[in-house]
Amino acid sequence: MTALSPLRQPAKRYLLWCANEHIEFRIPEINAISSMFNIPLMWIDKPKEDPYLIVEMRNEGDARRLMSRCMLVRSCFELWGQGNTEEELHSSIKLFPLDMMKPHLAPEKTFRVRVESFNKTLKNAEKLKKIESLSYLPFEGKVDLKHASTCLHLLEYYGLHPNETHRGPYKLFLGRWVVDGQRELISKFSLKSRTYIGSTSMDAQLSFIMANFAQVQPGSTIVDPFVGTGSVLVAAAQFGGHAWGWDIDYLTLHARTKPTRHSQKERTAGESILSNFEQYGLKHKYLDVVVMDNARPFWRDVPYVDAIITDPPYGIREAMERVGTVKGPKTAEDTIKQQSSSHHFPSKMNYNLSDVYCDLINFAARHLVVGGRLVFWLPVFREDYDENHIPSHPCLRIVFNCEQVLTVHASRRLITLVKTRHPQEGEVGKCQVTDLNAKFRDKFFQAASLTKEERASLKSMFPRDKRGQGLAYRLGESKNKTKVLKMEAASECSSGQHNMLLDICSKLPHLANLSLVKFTFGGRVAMDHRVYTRQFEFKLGGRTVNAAPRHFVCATLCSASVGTNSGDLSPTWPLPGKKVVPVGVRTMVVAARTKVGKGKEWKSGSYSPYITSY
Amino acid sequence: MKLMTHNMLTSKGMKNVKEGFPLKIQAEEMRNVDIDYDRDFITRMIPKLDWKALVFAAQCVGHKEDLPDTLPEGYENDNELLKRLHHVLLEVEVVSGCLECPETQRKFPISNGIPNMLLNEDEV
Repeated sequence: MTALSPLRQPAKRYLLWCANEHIEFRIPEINAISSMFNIPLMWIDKPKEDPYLIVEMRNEGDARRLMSRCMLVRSCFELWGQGNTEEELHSSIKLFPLDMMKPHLAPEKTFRVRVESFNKTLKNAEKLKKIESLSYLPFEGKVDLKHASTCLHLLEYYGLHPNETHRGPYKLFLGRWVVDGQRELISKFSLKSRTYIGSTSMDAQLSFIMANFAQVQPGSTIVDPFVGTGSVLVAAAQFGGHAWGWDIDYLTLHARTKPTRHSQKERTAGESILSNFEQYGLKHKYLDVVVMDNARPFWRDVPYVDAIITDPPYGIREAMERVGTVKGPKTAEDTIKQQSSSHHFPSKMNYNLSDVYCDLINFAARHLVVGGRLVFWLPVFREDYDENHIPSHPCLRIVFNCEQVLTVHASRRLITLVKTRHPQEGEVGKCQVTDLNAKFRDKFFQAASLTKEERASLKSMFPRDKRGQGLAYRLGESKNKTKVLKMEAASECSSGQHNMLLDICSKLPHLANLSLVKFTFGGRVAMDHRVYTRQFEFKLGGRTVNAAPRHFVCATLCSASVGTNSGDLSPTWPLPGKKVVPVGVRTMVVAARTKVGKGKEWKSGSYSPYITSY
Repeated sequence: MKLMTHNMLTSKGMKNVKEGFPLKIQAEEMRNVDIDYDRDFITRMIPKLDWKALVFAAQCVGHKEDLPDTLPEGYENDNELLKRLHHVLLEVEVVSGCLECPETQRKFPISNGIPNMLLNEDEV
């Protein structure tokens, strides 16, 4: 963990300007990285929601090392001054030691001042005035707007809420840019260009965050017991870990599942987990993948793993499987798999979600080195959640627990556990994990046998408008009336298949003007699947509001399906209105009417898909 | 499947198996790959390996001549040995064939370099 006691030597203050998403993960990520590199760090200002942090570190070298792994910090600035008003800012700057400023503004250096505002647009004339207000600084070098060696940034922060921007800035900062974080990895490793993906592939940003929580370093041995398409391991490999993965799903490991990309009809020979590593020059970090059942592992009982980083099934989208006899009909999938007697694919029975996590916890306790970490996602039914739902083991201690909200009712938590000692004979873990699938599905399908009261409470889980159409949420019905969460803006979409699935989670009690409201995303984001809309009419809690397409990101149908692949839901447009379709935790279908415009492969007419969530 | 992976696999979890280690390798198709030499990784993994099983595996696939029968003292400083170890552990791969449990003779197929360790219903 970070050093909380004051740094004993002279320290420098740094402003960390953060990404406006995954807020709960921000500080833990910095803590994980600083403890991994033994960077003493003192927190000066850590607001709960505002996208900046102020820390003290010993020197710029430490700052650069921290940022060399940071996904959620955009940029790091050496802080020269701050204030709540322009006056305060300038007074603060004037207190900053001149001998710390001068070397960067010396005659042989070039400089540039940039004015940036968060949540407000400033006109160029305004910006120029602000730059001129800094003329008292000891500038000695020449201005170079393109390649300056010293970049000063004047940051004006107008808060997170659009309605407050008419007042002055909430906070102002002046900082000298030091280095950026690693956000460029997000596009470089985007699933859009990944060779082999499936419906369970973890998005790049979260995979890297998981690798940071696990403190992956060059030379570490990393494993993923639910490797799927290897997306989590790729990020760990990029940070230097050598990776083993395994999975019970033979077809996924051999890349013979049905493709989830809309435009793709069949898997190509080049697709495999190894190909994902090769794509980024990481084949040297790929050890092996194995078809294996976690309930019956084949690993030697020695602690050989530095970190386990994984995304187990949540019990909703993927059937959880274990080898065993079940007195029931074989599923179609099982039948297809029985290709030849030499490759007998055993029929599988479901085992409950708690067993899945128990097996994982016990494997971790036995096979991690002491000090090694287990990082995994845990599905949570928000109303019921309490800390006891986190799988536990006497040898594993909780380090982080960060929630990513997916829908009004469900979220997933990224849990990080560290192994403190080796287990003694008979010491096992305890797991009591909510199976969201069971919770929602059973409640829904047993509707007939519900009492009147139960049916009424069920209604709030599947809210509908007057016409009986499913709606994602009834604003104001959710227990936690917290503020709007952040948005991933979408760029314009164009395409063919009209499966408009948007992950939307809004906890705003009311929506006055939708175009100013921001939505957050839980989970799945678009993968080469785009829709061209001109006007988007959005039904929300009985009202109709318009929203520009740029507020939405289209998600592919693959995240809507029940089961391992997309396509379980018929990908036609529109989706059946009255039917509440049980879909994966990561998705919701939007209720809206689109006026369809130009673009090829575009059906004419207007469509009304529906929002369902649970 | 690399020999480093083989070194970590055991059939001890199966019914009626006492040791289950090491598994015998019956290779049909092998291949050599080029993997960057990472000295730190190799030296960190060596203490976790079972040396006799490694030698046995190397024998199964015809790479025995590369390795001494026992792990010599001071191996961390023997760059030659480390490089050979690197080769045997990470650059020699079984593409197809099978792994055989030493006690039950149950065969676990390897295809496309991926071993399949799933048991059948009656074995569980």
